[in-house]
Amino acid sequence: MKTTITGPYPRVGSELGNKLRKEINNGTVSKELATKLSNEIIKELFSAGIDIPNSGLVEVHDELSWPLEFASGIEFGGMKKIFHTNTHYREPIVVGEIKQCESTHFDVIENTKIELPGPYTLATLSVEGAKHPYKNFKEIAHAYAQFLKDTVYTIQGIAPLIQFNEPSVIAHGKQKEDLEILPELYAHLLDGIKQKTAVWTFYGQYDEKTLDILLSLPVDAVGLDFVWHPEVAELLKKKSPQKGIGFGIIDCGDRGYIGIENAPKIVEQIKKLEGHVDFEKSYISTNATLEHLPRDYARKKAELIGQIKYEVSK
Amino acid sequence: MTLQILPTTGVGSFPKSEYLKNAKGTLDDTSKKATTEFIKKQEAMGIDVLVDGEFYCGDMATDYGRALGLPIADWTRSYGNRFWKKLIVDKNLADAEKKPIRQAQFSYAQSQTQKPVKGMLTGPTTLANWGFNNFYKTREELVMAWADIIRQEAEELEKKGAKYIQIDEPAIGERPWEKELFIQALGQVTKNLQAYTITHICYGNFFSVYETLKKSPIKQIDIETANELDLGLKNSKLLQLFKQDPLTKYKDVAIGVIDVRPDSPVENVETVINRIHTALDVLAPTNGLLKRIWIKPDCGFRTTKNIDTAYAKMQVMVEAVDKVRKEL
Repeated sequence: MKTTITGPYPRVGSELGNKLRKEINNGTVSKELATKLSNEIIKELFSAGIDIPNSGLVEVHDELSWPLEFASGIEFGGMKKIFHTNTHYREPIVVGEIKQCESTHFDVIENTKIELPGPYTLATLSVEGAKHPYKNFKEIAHAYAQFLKDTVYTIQGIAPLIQFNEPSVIAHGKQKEDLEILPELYAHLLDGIKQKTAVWTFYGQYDEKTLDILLSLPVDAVGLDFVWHPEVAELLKKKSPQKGIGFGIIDCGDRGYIGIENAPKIVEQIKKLEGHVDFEKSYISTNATLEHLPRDYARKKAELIGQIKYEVSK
Repeated sequence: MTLQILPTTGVGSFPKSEYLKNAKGTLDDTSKKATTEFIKKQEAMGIDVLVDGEFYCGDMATDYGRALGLPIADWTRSYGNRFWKKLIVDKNLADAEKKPIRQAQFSYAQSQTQKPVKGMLTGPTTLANWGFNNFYKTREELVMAWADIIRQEAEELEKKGAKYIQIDEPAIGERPWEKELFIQALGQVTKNLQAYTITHICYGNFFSVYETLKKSPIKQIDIETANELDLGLKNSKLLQLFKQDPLTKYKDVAIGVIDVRPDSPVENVETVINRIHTALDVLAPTNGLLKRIWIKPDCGFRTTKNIDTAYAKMQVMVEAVDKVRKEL
């Protein structure tokens, strides 16, 4: 098993992070400082025992809408809550053909994964503006798939994993009638991409049909939220999937609890799936972004993940 | 006090000068000075029901924790470069030694004007969602414990003369599956109040909590709408819902016509007039329902670029409302 985290990492709470916050407020932020903070976070995660960290995503405004800053055909509307949390995204308004308007300027740092919002989630969170060329939701979702494909095409081969986050697939309150488009959406997105990929889901619960669809996607691993839905383990036992599973099993704090889990209990929870899940292809992770916690607790959670991997490996 | 048609009001906060940026919930000489200036400015603009600007606090939740002696965690982010410190509920709130939270702040602001000033509190659902819970076993226990605290504070505000009491609940859209609990908690807060009650909501998933808003035990729903009004009836599901079943049939509605976000430029008067027209089209199909509409910015101005921008936006709102009143 490998270890990872999901989503932006808390950027304040260290000298560099506090400095970056201050400089952004003053409008004097430098790329150099952001890179230094990113490196600090990566180092912190590696030393905590995280095998595949992301870059910390220290420069993004929010975890969902940021790649669309590099898209034409999109304007940003009002701020909206990210599902059940007090974090926010800018509502994308589709006003034209969605295309990459310039190279997406995110750093690809060796040994860190690339993490992007998935096309289904982008489409469900978007609203339609007065004029655009798309007939329906499905066409908008495919336009996002093409946009993301163009985004990752030129940077593949550098990162150990490209992860697409799809909270809308399971998030509370989401209509699930259109989930059937996911396989064709990911076939479109990943056609020609020769890279290890994952789809990550969080902030909700699974039914059997949803899980079947997720496990049918042409990706190497599917991340599941065991924090909101520990019973997904029972569903998984019935499926014995061939692909890797992302055990989103460490609480990122989004439910409103700040404690650190009991490691042996988590180990036991994971080990119950031995023989049903290919551990070699799988990951231990937080369920979602650690930004719901302050930095000191985020670090403790990362260390917990490292410790759990060690215990599971034994 | 009789209010004119389309009464104007604020939502709460205002940008702070540098010397106020470490405010931690307590009214002191500097926050008093800022409050007085803001009250006088609102009076001069002709705002009908005033707010105090919240110069004494940094966010809507943390100093409730301080007032109850709760531990406070380090920074977490809400968006972009905006952070707040989450309180940690680590004991039974009924056993906490509670200091007054907003009473001195209200009394001071009201003493500066003959116009009504809103007494403002954060609601139980929002306080439960925007902090950590390390004590209560269930969400019900947590939310209702906060409801008891806020009820006591609301009753004190009323005793101090508050005719309008606003219970901010921007977290309403976060957990739509807890809507019955939301109503129960607001009912607990307002059950003994005679004051005109308001709940402010923003950044939300309003569509999924529409029925909850209709049923809430509150006189006025204060809602963020500027961006929906710009989308127009054709593209906004919320406006379509308003058109089909106007919220004004059930509640007074304060509509947000000014965008308060940091990067939002000062609107021109015509833009705001158009927003008001769009809102009236869907929420005030009859004169009776027109009387239920108030006009205000989307939210508090805490995150707006600076003081000058916020004042300019308020001025545009007042001018736009004046013009629309003359048309009616």
